[in-house]
Amino acid sequence: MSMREKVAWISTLTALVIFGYYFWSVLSDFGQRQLDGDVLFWRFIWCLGIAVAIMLPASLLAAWIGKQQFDPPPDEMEQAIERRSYRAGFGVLEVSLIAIILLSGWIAEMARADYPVDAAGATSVIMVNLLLFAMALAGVLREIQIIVAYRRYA
Amino acid sequence: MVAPPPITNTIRRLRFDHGEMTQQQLADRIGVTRQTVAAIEQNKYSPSLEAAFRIAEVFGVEIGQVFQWTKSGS
Repeated sequence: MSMREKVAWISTLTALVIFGYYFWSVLSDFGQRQLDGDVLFWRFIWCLGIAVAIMLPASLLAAWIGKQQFDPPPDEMEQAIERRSYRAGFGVLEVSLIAIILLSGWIAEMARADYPVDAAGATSVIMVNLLLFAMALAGVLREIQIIVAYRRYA
Repeated sequence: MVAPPPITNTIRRLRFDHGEMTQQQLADRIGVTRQTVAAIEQNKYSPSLEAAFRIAEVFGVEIGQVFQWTKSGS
């Protein structure tokens, strides 16, 4: 297995577990009408730190076990895989951003109904987390496409 | 499922004829990964013209002896 495929596996699994937990917790807080921007900010920073703390040593370990370079320059097939997956990930991000923009009016209305004390704050917290979700989704789908491409060529 | 390119190749036989050269050895000679050589050899990936010439150069043959176009009438 090439180093790039290993990194894609590590990134995908880590992101699904760590950011899966984060977005599940946001959804849970939202369901209980307890969205707190400060709490969510620090929770996100912690999750990001944990994800980096897992991914970096795991990738180094994978390179060491496989006696491979940690970050080798991509060859032409790897570049082609990356081009396709980045294009697809960017497409997902674009569509998600447009969907979030279209939903913004409905989100503001919902925030006014559910968080009358600080509707503007709640709106921004929801919007920021939807943007984070769109970015995470695009990133995970991009990595999954890299894995699928490598498996197809294997 | 993407259809394989209408190209065949003789890389496996050429490797065999050159002292059972491994995929890794060929990959190192042409500057790609072993996975890319495996994909080219199994006709799952069409290499660039440059990589195709490099492969032919390693085996000391013309490019047409390594890769053959199989689709007729196109």
